[in-house]
Amino acid sequence: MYRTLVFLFLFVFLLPARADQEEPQRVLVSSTTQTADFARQVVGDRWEVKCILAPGQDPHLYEIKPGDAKLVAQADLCVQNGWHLEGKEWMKTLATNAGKPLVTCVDGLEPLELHEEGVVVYDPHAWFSTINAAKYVQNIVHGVSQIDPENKDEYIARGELYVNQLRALHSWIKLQVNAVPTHQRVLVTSHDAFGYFCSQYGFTARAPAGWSTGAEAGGGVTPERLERAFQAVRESGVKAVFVETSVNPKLIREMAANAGIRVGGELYSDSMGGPGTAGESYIGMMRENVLLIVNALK
Amino acid sequence: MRPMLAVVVVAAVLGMVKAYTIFQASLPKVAAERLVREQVAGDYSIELTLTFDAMPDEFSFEPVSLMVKQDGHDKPLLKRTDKVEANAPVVIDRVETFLEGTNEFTVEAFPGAEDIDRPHAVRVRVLRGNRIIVEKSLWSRGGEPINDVVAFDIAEASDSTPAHAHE
Repeated sequence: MYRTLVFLFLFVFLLPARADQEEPQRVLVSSTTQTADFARQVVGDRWEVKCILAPGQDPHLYEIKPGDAKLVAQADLCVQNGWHLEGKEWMKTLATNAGKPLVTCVDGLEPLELHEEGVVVYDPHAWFSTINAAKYVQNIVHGVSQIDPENKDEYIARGELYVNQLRALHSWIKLQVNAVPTHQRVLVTSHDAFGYFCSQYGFTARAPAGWSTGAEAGGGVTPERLERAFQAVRESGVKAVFVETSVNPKLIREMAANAGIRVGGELYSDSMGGPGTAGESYIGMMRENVLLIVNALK
Repeated sequence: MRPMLAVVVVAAVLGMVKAYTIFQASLPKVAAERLVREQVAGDYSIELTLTFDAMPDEFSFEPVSLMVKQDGHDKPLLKRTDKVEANAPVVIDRVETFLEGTNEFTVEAFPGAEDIDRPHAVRVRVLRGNRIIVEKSLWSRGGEPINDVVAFDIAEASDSTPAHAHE
């Protein structure tokens, strides 16, 4: 008797609550950890953001796995970096095969052109410029607003708040970098990922491997690049070189040992850090990189 | 027995809900108070003087250098997308949207991305004719845009009672 009454009351009072529940979350599938973070900042809890690459994975060398197509099939919108960061256009392939709309974050940006092996390639690591990162956010706001126009104002408001944080980050980086004498601002890393960062903050970039760790034109390690990187270390008298979280550190460690300088630390480059690390967000990743670079080179 | 009891309980609950809605509907209607604020007469203008060159903001979704927006209005009173020189007053003439009571407008001004070393300021003056009714300086720390609110009261719609600014 008592149980029947309890059941009836629960039935009567919970039924309307069920009917009032909000619509199911939309799904956004992102290729890289950076673009996933930007997307989370824009969509809040309205969308579920999923990322194909795990923290520390190299987007240049990534091979599509069977589960990826399943993931993309659930998506309302896909987001990629573009300019061939995703080696062999793996994200574009996934989105096209599933018939899903795709936002390319570098659209509308001014590329850093790399003249390699007789061809011009666009450096895809554009997020290392905080100003470019703001444009990534803008492209994502535009993309999600097209899918969900009802909540456009909300996406714009979140995006604007986030770019204000990027603006503060930009000023902070400028002030931090000021501690490094200009002639010591040479950033030697595993691969040529920091061109935009160097261009924005007054560094010279050198790396034994080109813009990609893969075998694309201008990618990989060549004797000329290796020699240029060695020469930069010798001539600038830099105190440290840097390994990257998503690239094999062997070559840089050898270079540091040969030059008699230290490895300044591990920079987040093509991928952010895992959950719980300081580099699990874009702002955290940039902050940690800058602190590492400045402390090692000043 | 149990199904009968269940039906009785459900009927009782639904009956109480219905009775409550009937009771609510039977209550006398209270007319909502109409809050109409009169637009103030007079020749109002806003004058802005920057201590820095405002540049189109590279971070914003729109490359705005200087913008003034009044509360409740989507269309800005002023929107500049070009460089705005320091120390050269920018005047918004014939502001006709001020209301009796409290008025508020926001001022956004963006220093260039390279201009990060010093604090910035905008002097804001609201004038009625040639008379200054509000004067306020808005500040930002080095590198940050100015993004602040100027709030002030205008006492009556038609007279020349002085306004006072909110802190």
